[in-house]
Amino acid sequence: MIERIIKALKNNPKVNAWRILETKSKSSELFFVSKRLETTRATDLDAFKVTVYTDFDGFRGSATMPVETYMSDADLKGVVEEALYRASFVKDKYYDLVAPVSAKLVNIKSNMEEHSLQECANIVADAVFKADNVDKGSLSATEIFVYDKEYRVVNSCGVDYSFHKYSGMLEFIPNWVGEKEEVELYRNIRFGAIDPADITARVSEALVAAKDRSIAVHLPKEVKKCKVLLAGNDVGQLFSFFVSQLDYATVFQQMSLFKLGESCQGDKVLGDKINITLTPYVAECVASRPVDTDGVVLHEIKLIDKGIPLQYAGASRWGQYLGVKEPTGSLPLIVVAPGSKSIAEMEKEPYIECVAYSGLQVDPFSDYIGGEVRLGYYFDGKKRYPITGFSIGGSLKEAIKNMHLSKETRKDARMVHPTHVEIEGMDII
Amino acid sequence: MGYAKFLEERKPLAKQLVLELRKKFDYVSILGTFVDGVAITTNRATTSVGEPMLAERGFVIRVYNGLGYAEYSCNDLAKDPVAFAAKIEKVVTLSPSLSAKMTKIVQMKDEPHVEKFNRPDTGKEYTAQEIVAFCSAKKDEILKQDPLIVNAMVQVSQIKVSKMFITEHKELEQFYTWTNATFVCVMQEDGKMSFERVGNQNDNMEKTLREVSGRVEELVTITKKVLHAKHVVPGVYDVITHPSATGLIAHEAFGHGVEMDMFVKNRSKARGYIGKYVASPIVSMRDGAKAFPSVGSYFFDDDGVIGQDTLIIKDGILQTGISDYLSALELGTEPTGNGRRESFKRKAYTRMTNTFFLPGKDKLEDMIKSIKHGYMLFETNNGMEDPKNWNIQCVVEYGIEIKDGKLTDNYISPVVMSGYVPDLLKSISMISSDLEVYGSGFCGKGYKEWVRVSDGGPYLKARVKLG
Repeated sequence: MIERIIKALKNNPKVNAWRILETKSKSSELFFVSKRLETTRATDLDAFKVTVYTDFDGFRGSATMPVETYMSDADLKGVVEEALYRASFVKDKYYDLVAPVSAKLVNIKSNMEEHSLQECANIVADAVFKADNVDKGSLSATEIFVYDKEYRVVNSCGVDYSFHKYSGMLEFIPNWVGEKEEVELYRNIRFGAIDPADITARVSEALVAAKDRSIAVHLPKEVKKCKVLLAGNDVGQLFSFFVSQLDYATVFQQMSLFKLGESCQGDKVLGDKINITLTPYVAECVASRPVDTDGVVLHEIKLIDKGIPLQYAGASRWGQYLGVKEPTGSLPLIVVAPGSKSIAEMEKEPYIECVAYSGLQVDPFSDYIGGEVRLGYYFDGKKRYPITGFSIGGSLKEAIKNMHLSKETRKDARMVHPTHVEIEGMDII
Repeated sequence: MGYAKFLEERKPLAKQLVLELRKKFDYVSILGTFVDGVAITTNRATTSVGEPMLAERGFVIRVYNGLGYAEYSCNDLAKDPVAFAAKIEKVVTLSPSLSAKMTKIVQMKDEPHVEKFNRPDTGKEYTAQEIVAFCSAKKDEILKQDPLIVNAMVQVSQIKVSKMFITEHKELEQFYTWTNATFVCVMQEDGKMSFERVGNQNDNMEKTLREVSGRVEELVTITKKVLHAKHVVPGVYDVITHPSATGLIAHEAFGHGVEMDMFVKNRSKARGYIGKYVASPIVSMRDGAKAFPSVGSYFFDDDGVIGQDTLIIKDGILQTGISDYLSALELGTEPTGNGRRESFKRKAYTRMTNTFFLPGKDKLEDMIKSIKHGYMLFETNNGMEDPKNWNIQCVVEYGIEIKDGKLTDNYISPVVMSGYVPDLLKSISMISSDLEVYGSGFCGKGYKEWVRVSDGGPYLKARVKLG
């Protein structure tokens, strides 16, 4: 198919450059209600996106169109003509497409290649339900998705890279029948390889959290300020904020508050100074990829060192607009270095540990961090117990100036980061 | 502009494939989708021309295997129905281990129904050149309004939806369009930034562009006010919600809670409250593809069920939920035409369509006058449901302080509303006679399965926790 698309592109003299993205994808999906398998799904898809570039008056115009496998050569000719027509109204500053380099792409390995997709989904299901055997606790719903995908990027400068990877997503709802009421939490795990023991452990852990929510109480009314420990899945959003502020596109569009060489945590940092590396590959992290959608072969870079941004990063075009000679490409994984305090040290004094949120808000525009907490733990200096029905809120700038990061780290879909972030001075509502 | 030729051409193949698969399976349906259009975005530096976010083309074949349901999603239907049916049968056949995990569910009915629905954009048809020119001109207009503006974005997106639903006895076809236009303004001063947007939506692009065109000044004014906004002092306040914020409450507080696939999964507290008070006696709420003409409107849903208008809350009492076909079968209820897929690549779930509180009898000025100290809240940002435990978080863009019954010039941002759903709904003490529904939103189920929805209602006076 790609050869036919290239032929259609080369046959049109008005096309100055082009890029084709292909994603071949197969999946096996299982949908459970309680332990009962209700629906199974399989997908078999092949998707193409063609971007056509046309140069005029010093500008570079572009437009992206989908191409389908059923299209005839005449259809493809029409797609190219329509894309050219649309691109001819786009007056963007000129930029080069990515040129190929000699590099051996990282092979993303997974134990999922040892089984069929349906078998992989079944192995995950068995691992999940192995933990679903506790009195009063159960899973209300479980959804399992396993994917086998092949990616290819080809452009008119000679780029032609492809890579293959397996991935999976597990969503489940741990439920607990408490004395007062039934409660539930939400869990979502993304994986690049199947580790049944880890899945079983994480489901068990989630059921314990649901149990804790069932016995959780409101915070004592007198607690208005207290040290907050951010933990759980949403903590990654805080670190994503640092990376998004240093993205070429954010900077070029004057929407960044960070400057290279100047502390991104303010003048007088009282907590840990942050260290962030961007990388294309971390074993078993779903987002790993050796090359981005422009065809840039990706390499690890140090983004922030001791709170000081060292460079911007992002897609080639935006890097070129900023005058970067060798743009980094869109690196998929964020690695945040461990901090100075162990969790045990953080937990010596009274604290509120937040582990499940309605959605942690990290908003650089209005300088806000906070949100409603569905499950937390309060340690009053003597006793630790589960709490619910409260919100936290405060200044994002103050939070990052004062935060301490845990020595312990965790790995999720697109990040390796400290499990806990200690912040003083947040409002408890 | 009209129903997709691609689907028209595939219809005979779809009917043949259904008959072939029916030899092996007791129920077979095919949903064909062809959703295209154009999305054009300009900002101070660049212009992009592409497809709308939810563009899709493909098929999902659903079969009943005697126990439960199996689906196969593909880009196209193969030309040999016999060979293709054999392939599908192989793909959907489960291993003994997985089969053992299935227990019997009721089979879907296949009642005869042949109908076509057509709702094209009746206004002027725009070329890509004209839309780019519109976006570019408006972007320039916003940028020159104030020296503090660092960026402006204008986006126009028109989606054209063609869908076909085929079973042995059913042939449904629909075509409709929807246009969204959004203006964004970004200001920066002394290390502070504000980012605000205004938008209009309609099934008529000409009307949409005309209405949004006049909102540049309003956008710039709000962005500047929010730039200098303060954080709210956390606490419980009397508030008045603008219809856009009202819609967020309708959607997050109770919409998700009455999605009946949540009933099936024992994930909804609302199931035990049918016939009971869940809100103040002056509160009524509706959802449905036919409840209001907006982005959630369609003729039939992705299960092939005709869209409806469902009264969810009447005078404070929960009447019923909304459901997809499979959930209705499991619950022994009638489906309400709320079975929606993100695309042919995804499963159908119970989803909201157009969700809104019904108007009351109060006047907005009386509502403001009734508040000693509180806030008027504007513009949805995001929210999160908790259908089992009825916690709620709604984030709106900004609020304006009300003091001694008068709206001041004091802005707060951001505004996070949180609390317990029945407390919030039962605190509603005044409802204005307005009704505005906004079709600019996306809704996820948990953190995935994005579909377009609208929500809204009148101005509400309630008492909520702000932080």
